[in-house]
Amino acid sequence: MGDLLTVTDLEVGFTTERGLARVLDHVNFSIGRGEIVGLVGESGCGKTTLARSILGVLPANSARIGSGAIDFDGRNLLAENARTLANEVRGRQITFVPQDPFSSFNPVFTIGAQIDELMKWKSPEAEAGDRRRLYRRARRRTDRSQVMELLRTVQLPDPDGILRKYPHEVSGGQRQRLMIAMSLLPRPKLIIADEPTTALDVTIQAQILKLLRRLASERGVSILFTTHDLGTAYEICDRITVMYAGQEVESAPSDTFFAAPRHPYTTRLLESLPSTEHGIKGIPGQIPGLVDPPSGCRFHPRCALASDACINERPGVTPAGPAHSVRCYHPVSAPEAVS
Amino acid sequence: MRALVLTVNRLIWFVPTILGLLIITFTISHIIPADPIAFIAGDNASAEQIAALKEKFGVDKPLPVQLWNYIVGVVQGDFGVSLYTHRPIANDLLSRLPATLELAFVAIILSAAIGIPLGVLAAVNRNSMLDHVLRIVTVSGLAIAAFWLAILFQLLFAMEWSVTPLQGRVDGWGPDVHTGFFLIDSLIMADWEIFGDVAHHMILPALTLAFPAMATVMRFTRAGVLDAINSNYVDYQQAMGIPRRVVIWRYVLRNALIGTVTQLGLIFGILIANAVVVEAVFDWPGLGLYAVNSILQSDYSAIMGFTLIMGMVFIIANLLVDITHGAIDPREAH
Amino acid sequence: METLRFLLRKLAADRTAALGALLIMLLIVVAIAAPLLATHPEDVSEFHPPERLLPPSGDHYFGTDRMGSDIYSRILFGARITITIAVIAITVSVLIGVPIGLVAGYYRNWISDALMRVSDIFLAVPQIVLAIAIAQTLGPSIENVILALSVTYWPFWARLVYAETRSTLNETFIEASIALGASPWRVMMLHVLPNISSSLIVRTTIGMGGTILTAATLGFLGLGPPAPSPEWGRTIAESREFLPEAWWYAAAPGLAIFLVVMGFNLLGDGLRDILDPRTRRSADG
Repeated sequence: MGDLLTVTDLEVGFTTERGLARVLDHVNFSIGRGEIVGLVGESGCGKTTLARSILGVLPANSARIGSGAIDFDGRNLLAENARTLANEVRGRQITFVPQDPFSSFNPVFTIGAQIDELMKWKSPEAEAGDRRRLYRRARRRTDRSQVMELLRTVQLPDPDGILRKYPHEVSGGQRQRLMIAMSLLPRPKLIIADEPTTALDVTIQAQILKLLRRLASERGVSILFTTHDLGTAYEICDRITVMYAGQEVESAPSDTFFAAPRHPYTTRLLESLPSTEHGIKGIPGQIPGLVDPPSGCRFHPRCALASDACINERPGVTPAGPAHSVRCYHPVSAPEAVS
Repeated sequence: MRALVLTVNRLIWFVPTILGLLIITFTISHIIPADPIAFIAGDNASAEQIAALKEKFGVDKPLPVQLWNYIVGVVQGDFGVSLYTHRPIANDLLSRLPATLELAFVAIILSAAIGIPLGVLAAVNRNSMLDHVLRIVTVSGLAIAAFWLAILFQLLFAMEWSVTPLQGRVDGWGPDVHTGFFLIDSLIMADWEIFGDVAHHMILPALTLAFPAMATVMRFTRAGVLDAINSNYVDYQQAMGIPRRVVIWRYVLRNALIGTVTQLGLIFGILIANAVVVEAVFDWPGLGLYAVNSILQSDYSAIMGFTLIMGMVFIIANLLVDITHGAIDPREAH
Repeated sequence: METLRFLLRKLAADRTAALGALLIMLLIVVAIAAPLLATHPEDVSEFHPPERLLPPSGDHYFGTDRMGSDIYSRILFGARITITIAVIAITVSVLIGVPIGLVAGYYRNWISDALMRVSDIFLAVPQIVLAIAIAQTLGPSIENVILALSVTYWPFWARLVYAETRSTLNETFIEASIALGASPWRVMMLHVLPNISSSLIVRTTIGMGGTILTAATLGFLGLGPPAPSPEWGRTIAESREFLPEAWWYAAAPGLAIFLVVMGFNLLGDGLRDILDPRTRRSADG
């Protein structure tokens, strides 16, 4: 497969007081090389869980992985042990940009100290053997110059000064630029950005998104971009996958997604964006609980087009155009134009 | 710069606090139902003799004047005269202070050296058997009376098994006194035998004193580590594949410890409070034993002197803790 | 009543807290029923020198002390002293400290500053140190112990309530209430107090443990109720010269203190978990 990442039939549950919450229900998902894919959906739809499953950082005591495979660049991540994942995959080939750049920095260490720690373990210059306490001076210097270079690339003024500061001494936008820089330092193949602009001011969001997109395409890095905000997805994504209640329902190239969505949920989602035409439209009903979710297609209780087939068995993947697939027995055909 | 301002701020409150302490001790010492002058004078003293004594001790003057004289005296180092020995109390107090401080320091080091790693382990292995056992130890440590623990230790280790000396600070003469801290003094003399003897005598009292402090340290470290482990910065480091042991022992621990430092004042208070009885049980020649003996001798002045110096030590210790906390927590500077 | 039943159910579920509650109930039962439970109730004040320092037996569960009195019975009566001292001292210090803290926290003027400065001075010294000074000055008796403890404990409550009042007052619903014209009394009683009550309950319970330890320490130092009082701390002090042979003499009262304090600590921890989950001692669950 030409794809960088392919998730097949992934099933993940969390044990809770009320039983096993089926958070991911046989999810299929893929990202091509150099592609920016948005994973959109409402809170609780499983997008963060999917992202964390790929990264390998699900909470150990409550997460249960059922069936499925995560194929990344030729290796099945689910088959690897934790240590290999931590050493070789995380922070090297797959990096992470968190939602809240403030609390993701340790408040009592300088920014420079934390970046140094990252480079110590994850620098592209590091060889497999010299992991431990050995942080050779020569490599330190090359690492440091790389760091400075990248800090300039993300348009941070005074990189030298910033390294000496503490996290609370820099602004939110600067912190997220730092996070982006840190995610690029190990020269990864895939960056997982979990709602990276949610915590930022609106004016800064667009800057950060553009920066991220430019850097990724320059370096041929793929991005998995989760968000609940369709606007930001539009800004930056090549392709968008929609999730609902632990199931992926549609995946389409960005333009097609907004112009001609096929899944009933996607259309309702796009309709719910406030518009001058129809004001604010919600979707009647509620997101289902995941301990005892609806059978088959989990959207069926709220879908006007639902039939018995929808309740009995979840629809399979149906192609709906180039790079466009949908999981529905009654895909919508008339495109709804949304501004 | 900011740190300096904060330090000065705290220092400003130092003086009124000490003054307040002086007022309190003065007040307490003047509600004695018994009349110490009559006590000194004896049963057969005449009225003139009593009046003369009153004048000598300055207690015939109005209270505010007495308070002023008292404050002035303390500032000059005069803590009054012992009713029992008729010697200045200040000398006795100062000569005994190092013994208590040495014991307290060793106890703090012990409680930190044992309590911090155990607290980290308990947090990292939350709800495991180890965690439960340590939780029991913590709760016990805070429920056990220090004097009873001292007696139990003494019973077991000194009397039954004879592995430690029964009491005292050292057998025979101690090292030549330079600092008053026998461990240091014996090292200065390079006399390993005395050093060993002093250390040997110190084990039980220090352990007894350290036990409740260790329980507290363990409890706070555990809470601090748990807090930090659930934080986003740990999440980020793990997501980026930084080895877990580095995350815990370098980053989480630092965050947890900064929180624990604020508790050092509390811990020091526990130590001082328990030092009195621990010294009594082990016959350790420090301030605590001095207090106990003064109680037995009804030496009210000595007790007041003891209260004063203990209070001062505690206030100074808290001040140092505050300053340290301000220095090591970068968030404080803002 | 609903909340009480809810509380009891939650308590029963938390095993360590339930154990704590059990121990405290045991203490109360023992204190009340001491005359009935004691095998030699008269030994609280009578001596039998020929029977001194006997080891534990069927007749004397914990042996006899230096005057030949039954230690078991004396410990049972000692429970009364312990409860009396602790309950009164805490009640008095709370009754003084809480109102002071409330008022100081509500009104921001020089009076509140002064009150808090005074509290700070008291708190600047370890409680036992001041308590020794006071008890020593007034003479050994149960009343003086209570007085010494109360006088040195109220500042703790004043400071605590002051801080919590200040933070509660910053909450927006209070601002709304004041904006609507609520009187200070009303705000304090109906809004602030209920808000801080759970914290107070937890601290009072844990405070009982600490107070019992301090009281026992004073007793050990000879500053508590004088001989022949069966106070636990005093008994331990008496036992010292007869160790190691008469080990039961020190073990029994010490164990009693331990169990009682442990009970209050466990219960307090359990209450804290229930009433204020934000400050869970262990953050489990």
